Amino acid sequence: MPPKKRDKDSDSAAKSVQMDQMNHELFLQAFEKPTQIYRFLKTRSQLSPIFLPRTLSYMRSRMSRTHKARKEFKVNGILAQVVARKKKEAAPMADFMTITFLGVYDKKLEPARCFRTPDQQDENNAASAPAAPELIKLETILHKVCHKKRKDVTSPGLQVVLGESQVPLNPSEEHPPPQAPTVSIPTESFTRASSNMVKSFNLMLKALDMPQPNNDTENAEPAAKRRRREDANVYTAELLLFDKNNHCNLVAGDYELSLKKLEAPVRIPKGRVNTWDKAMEVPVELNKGSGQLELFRTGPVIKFRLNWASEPSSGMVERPRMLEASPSESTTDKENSTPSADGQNNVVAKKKEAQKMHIVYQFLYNNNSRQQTEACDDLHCPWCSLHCGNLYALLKHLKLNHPRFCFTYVPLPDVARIDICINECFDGSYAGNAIDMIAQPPGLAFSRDGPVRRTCITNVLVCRPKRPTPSMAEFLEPDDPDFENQRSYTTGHNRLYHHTTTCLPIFPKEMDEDSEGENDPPWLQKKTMMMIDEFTDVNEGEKELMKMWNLHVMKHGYVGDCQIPLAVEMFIEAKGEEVLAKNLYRNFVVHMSSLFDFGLISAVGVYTSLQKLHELANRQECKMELASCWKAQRDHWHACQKPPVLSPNPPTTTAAPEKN
Amino acid sequence: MKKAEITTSDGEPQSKPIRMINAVTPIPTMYTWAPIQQNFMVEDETVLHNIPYMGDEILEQDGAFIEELIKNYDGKVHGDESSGFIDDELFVELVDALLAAPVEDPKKDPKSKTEKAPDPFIGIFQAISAVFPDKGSPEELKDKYFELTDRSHLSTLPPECTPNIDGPKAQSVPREQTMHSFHTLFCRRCFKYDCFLHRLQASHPGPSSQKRKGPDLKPFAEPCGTSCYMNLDGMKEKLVAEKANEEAEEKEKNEKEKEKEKEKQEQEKAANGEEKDDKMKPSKVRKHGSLDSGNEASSEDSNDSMKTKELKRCNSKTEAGKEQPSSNSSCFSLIGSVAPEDHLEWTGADQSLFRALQKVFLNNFCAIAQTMITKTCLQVYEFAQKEAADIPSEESLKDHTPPRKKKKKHRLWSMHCRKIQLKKDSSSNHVYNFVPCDHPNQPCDQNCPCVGAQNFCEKFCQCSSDCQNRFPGCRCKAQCNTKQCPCYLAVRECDPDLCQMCGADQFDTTKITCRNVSVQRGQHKHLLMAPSDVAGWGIFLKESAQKNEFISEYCGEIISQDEADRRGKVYDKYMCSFLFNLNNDFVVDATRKGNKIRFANHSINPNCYAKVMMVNGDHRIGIFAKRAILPGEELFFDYRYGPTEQLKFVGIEREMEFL
Repeated sequence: MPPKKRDKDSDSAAKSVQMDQMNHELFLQAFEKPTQIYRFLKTRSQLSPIFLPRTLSYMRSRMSRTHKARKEFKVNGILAQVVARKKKEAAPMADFMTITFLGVYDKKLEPARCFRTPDQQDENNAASAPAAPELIKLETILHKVCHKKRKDVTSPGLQVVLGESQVPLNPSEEHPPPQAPTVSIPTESFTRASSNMVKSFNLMLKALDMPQPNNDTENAEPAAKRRRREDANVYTAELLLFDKNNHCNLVAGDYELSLKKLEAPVRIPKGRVNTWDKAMEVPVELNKGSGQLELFRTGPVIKFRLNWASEPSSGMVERPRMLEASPSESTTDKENSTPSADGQNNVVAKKKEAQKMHIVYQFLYNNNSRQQTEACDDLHCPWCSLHCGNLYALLKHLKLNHPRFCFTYVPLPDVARIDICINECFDGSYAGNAIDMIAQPPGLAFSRDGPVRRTCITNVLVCRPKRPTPSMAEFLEPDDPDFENQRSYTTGHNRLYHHTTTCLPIFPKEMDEDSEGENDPPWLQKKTMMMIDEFTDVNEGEKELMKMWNLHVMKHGYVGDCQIPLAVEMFIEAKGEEVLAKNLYRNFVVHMSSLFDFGLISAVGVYTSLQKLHELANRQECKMELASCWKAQRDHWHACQKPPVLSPNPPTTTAAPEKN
Repeated sequence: MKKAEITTSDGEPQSKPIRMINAVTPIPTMYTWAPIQQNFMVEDETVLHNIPYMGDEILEQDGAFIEELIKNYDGKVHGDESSGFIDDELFVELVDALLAAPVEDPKKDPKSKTEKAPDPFIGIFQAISAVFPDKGSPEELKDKYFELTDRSHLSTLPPECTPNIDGPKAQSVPREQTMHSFHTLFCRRCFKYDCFLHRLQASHPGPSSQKRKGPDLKPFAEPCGTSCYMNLDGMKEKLVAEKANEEAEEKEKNEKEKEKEKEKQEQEKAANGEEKDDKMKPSKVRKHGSLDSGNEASSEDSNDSMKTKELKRCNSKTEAGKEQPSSNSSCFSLIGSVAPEDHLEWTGADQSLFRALQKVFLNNFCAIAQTMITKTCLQVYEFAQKEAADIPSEESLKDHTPPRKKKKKHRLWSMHCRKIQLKKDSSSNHVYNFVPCDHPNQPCDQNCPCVGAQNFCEKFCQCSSDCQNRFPGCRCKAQCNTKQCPCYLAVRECDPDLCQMCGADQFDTTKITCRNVSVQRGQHKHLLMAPSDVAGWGIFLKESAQKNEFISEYCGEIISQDEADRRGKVYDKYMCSFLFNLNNDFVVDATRKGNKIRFANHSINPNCYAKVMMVNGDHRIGIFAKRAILPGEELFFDYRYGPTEQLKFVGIEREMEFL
């Protein structure tokens, strides 16, 4: 914050303040972008985490499991393990679940409890006026909730009545009735084998003949009347015994359930599932005086004790004493009074206390301290809200996950200061699929015409670096940019390549062909033809043959004299027909004798290759064309009337044999 | 999806979905270049083609640079002459166009109508002269026009051009004229006509008369047909006598090289052969051919590299020998297609073709006739008799340098090895371009240009194949990639005509075991171009490479050192140079033409190195892997310290490279 130090400052001071302000603006700007990026990344990693922080070597404190078992792990032991676990699971399941009803409490019927007199205010219940606490008929029902079919509105259920008992209404705490009714439920009834459709088991308690409180609202009267007639004032409570994963959350202990009118079958929350860390939220609700907990204060409540026993008990047993609720529990969850859970919570809380550490973040810009946070003992990363457990893990996390900043640890007597500045050397280059960068418009992954090849950007890296023992000293000095270690671990084609002549990007499907790698690029073919065409003292027949020969040699790249006979052979194979068709036979013969003159082919080679061309000529039936060309030559020769250099052939002296 | 909406003046709303387009990162600058896989020699540029553009501010700041540049070209800048654009061709075209055009304004020049008959053009030339006063007076222009048009009227071809031998206007010309184009344009080193690499070199090796590859085609033993010249009375006897003479002559020639007993044996053999019937003759011919060389080879050390070569020739000879009797088989001919009296005529084309062929097939008139396809064997024979007076009877096949005894070859070999060592020890950085030597009748001694330049004589030299300065090639059976291989040691690639044990002569590259032929075979790696991690563009390897594996040849334009000096000044200014010193005479410039390796950047800790190698008589630059390189790695080599300090111009080194 720019401090407004003195009011009576001169102009220069005002200027410096202005400068300060500007600097501060710059500071905010510099930190704004990385902060936004990390905030975005936080949300993203929450929605779709890339890895679990607890797997990191420096985040051991987040790992709740030990890996001790891994050492002894054997594949063959899996079955034995599972069997053992199953047995263990089965162990707490005694043969019978015994529920001892302590009583139904309704604060609205307070006087009845206090004076143990007939409730004169209970106008509805005229018939009953006993001296003993009023007994209420309570039906215990096992409710099997089955799988909901798609069309069903509510889950189909199966109700098994387990028993009926008389439960005292508002028995006094000081002088409880000596006996209490119990119900025993055999655990066999919870087996799912009987019907696979059963999803969960609920215990339903149905209190019949509940007395109505006197302060019932008037407008509800007609409905109440009707109910009185039909349902005799039925209140119910439900408790989840086995959830759909076949876990039983119920341990032996005292339970309170609020009773509700059957009219609205609202399911009371199964308070047992609450864990300690959510407890914080519960008092809030209590304070607000809203929600389900309010019911416990105002509505009727049934108290019972749940026991797991090996033998069934029925009828009346001796009323057990109420268990003492621990003080911590009293503030949070009345429903939930199991002593064992309490103990664990306390241990965790104490552990946390011991590690408390005051941390100050100091933001630096241009080597000036710009902002300092208040000291707090929070080990959450300020950007990710990730709880790091200890200071070393926090610093390591900051350094590795937020490379846009530089973090330096400054240990002070009672506080740990972390200096933060912008990392100037941050390399924010894109490391993903390079092709995606040029895809226009982006995000065409699903709108392409058909399957196309894509670049592979997945790299499996196995790296086992030597890790130094963790020490806070490593955060004291800012990192030297070590260029040796800057070398990326991944290799391969993680970049976008371009065609060398056009600079256009090379798409994955074109990667395998070596473009611009051929011996005779089109321009060079054209070039050699043009260069030959440029000669003025070379006739068109020679030019044509030279071009054909050059293109042939350029294409195949003959390297030695010894390959020339082969070159000629291949030339005849590839272009022999063209030579004949273009009327270049004699030029080819001259070309061959030129090769002979250069000592590149033997006379035999010349002869045999010309024989090969003859074979082609026989096959090609281009005799007529060659003959017509020859005829044209003869005609021109006669027409020119030029005295030939050598005298024409005179008639032969001997008798010419017949032509074949 | 976002939509862009607009309401037209009619109040009608229109909308279209908005598609976002990614920002694309800009790519580095690249100046146009043409891909080549082999070097391309270009002439010095004596005229500055363009003033290099390096941004406005640089030109303004540094006018001195441009001035200096122009001075390098003696002040000659392309397009300086103001009226330079009208040349002869354009001039003729202009006059023709004006002649063809109707007279536009007869009133303006009524006299011209009357004058037109005697001198129709003068008005045109006057007008042209008025526009281009530097081209001369109207009279001069007129004369020039007639001069130009007369020549083009006479014939479409300039007078020095021989008519097409396949065309109707073919003429009867001497053999030299028929062969002239083929002889002068053919590059004996590239096997191409008017090749890109050697056409500008002064010493373009023409056909060497002394070297004949393989066997001559002996006259056929049997008449090729009913009209064969052998059917003439007394011809067979004559032939037999000739053959005996010929063989005797050859024996005489071989006398110098052969031991006398052997020779006598042969003569006896030959004499015996004469008495045998004709059917034996083809095989005898073959045998004789193999005796020429093969006999000696077998008497030589079996390790001799020459042996394989000659054995190969023997093989080709035997194959050819089998072909020879097939002369009787029906071969393609045009004789049957015309009336008998028509093919009696010897046209110009026939005569020229005969002369071209006679040197190849000598007295085998059957083969000549078969090749000519328009004449019978008998006609050819008779024509040959007429010509006989004009043609020198036999080309002297004598070598210019006196042939050496072949036994000395062992000494030759050890001497070469010593020479190579010497060359290395002297460690002179001066590597001169190879130019085939041609000094008739003189052995390759201190006066030979090859010896002077510390180069070996190559097969392109006109000296004898036994020349002491020739490199003997290697006889490796392995991959020729260690210093055990003399070729590798001498920084030469294996020569397909010298080294055959390693398979360097194989055309099919899969059959080659030799790894020392990568440059000539163009066995480059697949390279990919992408923006570099260092500066500008970079080149990346697609597949991995092992240490010392060939990556690519550094190709480009071959320019002289002077030209490189001139070009280098501009490149240094651009801070981007593709110049690479090839040898003392030439520089490779990959600026305008090159291959992908030109994008390799400089590094002082590179993964590649460059090596200038002698590849079949040409110096070429190979880029090799300095260490194992993984796929996708960028390639670097050290521009500064090559084995022969190749790079003359190193652009200003970029800061990042020294980090």
